[in-house]
Amino acid sequence: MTILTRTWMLLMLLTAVSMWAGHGDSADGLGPLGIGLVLAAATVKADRILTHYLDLHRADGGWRVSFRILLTLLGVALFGIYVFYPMIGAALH
Amino acid sequence: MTETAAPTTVVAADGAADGEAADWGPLSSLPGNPMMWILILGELAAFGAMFIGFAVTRALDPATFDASQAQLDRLLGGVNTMVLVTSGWLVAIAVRRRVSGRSHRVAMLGAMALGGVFLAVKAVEYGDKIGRGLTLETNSFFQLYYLLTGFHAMHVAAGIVILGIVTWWDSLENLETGAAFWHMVDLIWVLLYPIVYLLR
Repeated sequence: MTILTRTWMLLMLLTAVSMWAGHGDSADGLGPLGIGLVLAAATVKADRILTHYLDLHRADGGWRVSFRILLTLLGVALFGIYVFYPMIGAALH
Repeated sequence: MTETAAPTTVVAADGAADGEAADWGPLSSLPGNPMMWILILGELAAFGAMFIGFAVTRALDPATFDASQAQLDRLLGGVNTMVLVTSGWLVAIAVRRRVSGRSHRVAMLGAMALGGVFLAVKAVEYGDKIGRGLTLETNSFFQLYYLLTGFHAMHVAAGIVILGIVTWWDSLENLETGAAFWHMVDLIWVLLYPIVYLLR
């Protein structure tokens, strides 16, 4: 099995994991674990698309690291907004 | 379908016939046309800012956002994610086949067909929402939902046209550049789907 096919299978699996983690009544929040799982799956998927579909593995290591940092910062920022903002709001009230 | 190793040379971005490669500085080590990578970086920055904006707007009014998000079809969104990553897989295979001198057109046509499926599912979603009176004017969630998914759908439509062009004018540089655009569209959706449909 080639790297492209393995990448595609991983992307499908992570999509299914995201759908499972994010399903349910919208009135119930996902909680920090669920939010972290969904964001981690999305970040890994984006990284795999960059590395293998977009062939970033052919580029200088600096590009791979830069894109990974960018994706990780986006994921961490979103995690912080979704998880910590309600806590801050509750504390202020 | 089998695949072979990716090409190891960077094609001159200006397609110089004299074999003289253009100097793109740090961009020269990226595969395909460096101009496409400038577009990819710009699109990632633009969508990244919109994703942060979406999350902050939701944090200011979580009740409205969560109630509105419940009106979305998470299963259809997930199915569309699978459709798009499968389409990206076919495009990546097409590039590998082109590199090894084999026919790539079946894979490209399959990828374009799946792009059409993505847009059809999106049209079904929009039709359902509009039929239930959920429009741009409903609230800030639906404004951002239509803005983000609509902007992305326009990229998908443009991507299908680009894939069609590079399928027939199929120099390796054309094919790699068209494929890079399609993978960027794929990449943005795998980030957009969880943010708009799942996180709460």
